[in-house]
Amino acid sequence: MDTQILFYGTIILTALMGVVLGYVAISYRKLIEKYERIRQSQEQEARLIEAQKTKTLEEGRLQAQKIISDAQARASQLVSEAATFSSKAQEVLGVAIKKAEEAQLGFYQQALSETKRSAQASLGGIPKDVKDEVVRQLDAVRASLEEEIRSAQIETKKMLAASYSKMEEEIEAYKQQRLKAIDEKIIGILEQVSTRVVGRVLSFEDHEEAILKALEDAKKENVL
Amino acid sequence: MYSELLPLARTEEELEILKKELDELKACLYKPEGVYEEALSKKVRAGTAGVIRQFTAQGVIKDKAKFFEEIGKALDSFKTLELTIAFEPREETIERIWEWVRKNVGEGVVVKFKVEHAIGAGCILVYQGKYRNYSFSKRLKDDFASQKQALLKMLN
Repeated sequence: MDTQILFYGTIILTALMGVVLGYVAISYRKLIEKYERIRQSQEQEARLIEAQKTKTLEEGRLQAQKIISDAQARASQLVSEAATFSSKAQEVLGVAIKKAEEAQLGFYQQALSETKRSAQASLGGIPKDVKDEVVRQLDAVRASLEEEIRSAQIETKKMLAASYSKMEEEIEAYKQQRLKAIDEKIIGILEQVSTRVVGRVLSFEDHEEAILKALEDAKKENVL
Repeated sequence: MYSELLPLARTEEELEILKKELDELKACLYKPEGVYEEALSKKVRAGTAGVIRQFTAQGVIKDKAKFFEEIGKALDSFKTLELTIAFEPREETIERIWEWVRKNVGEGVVVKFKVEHAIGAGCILVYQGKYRNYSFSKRLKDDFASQKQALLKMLN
């Protein structure tokens, strides 16, 4: 009995689960379809916005270009007007400066002429005295220079003579030194040659005699 | 004492050789019979062997160990006369000089020869800390030094 209840219970539960699963599947399918519709709608809206944006940008660009062209034309006109004003102003200024210069020049020329006349009046009798004085001064300077040159020459001669004398002394000292060194060398060579010659010329007996003689001397000197 | 051995050690070199020979013989004393005799025949100079045999025959060597001990000490006490000479000494030179030294200085002196051609002739002598230069080069140098001016005048 229990087995039958369990059997039929299981069948009923399985059927119920099938129904629930079917409902879930249908709901899921509807949800997907809804999502797809929304997505398509959004894409369409995005395309419309993009087209609107492009159109607006193009209009803005054209408007900006027009503003710039207008500004350039206006700027060009302003520059042209400014240049005209500048050249006119320069012309007026130049005329004014020229007048001022002419006035100034006249004034200076007048002052100079007056000064010249005044100086000529003051210094009229002096030039000869000045000339004599200048000549005297020049003679004095020339004499002084000649004296300086003469004493410099004498000094130079003295210095040269002293240097020459010192040089001669040094050369002589060096010469003596070298001669002395040569003499020493000659004596050294003589010694070496003599020693070598004697060493070769003597016989064994002579050598032996010389040694025995040396030993005798050593004995006499109480070395042995 | 053992003066017959002296001619075998006239120079420092010969003295060293003699010492080695005697050491060699002394080392054979405690070896089997015949080794000593063989060493005497083959390992030492004929002169050395002759003197040892003569001593043995004359009864001079009664106790060989004692003999080698005494002779070793005697040789160690030898003095050295150093002679620098101008040529390679020949046998006659060694003999003549050693004989003179033996007669005039005494026994127990060996000569140490050194050769230096630059001295020309004569010798330079060193003995017991004393030094003398009897060379020709030294005498010549002294003469030249004393007569330098005269010599230079002659040369010029």
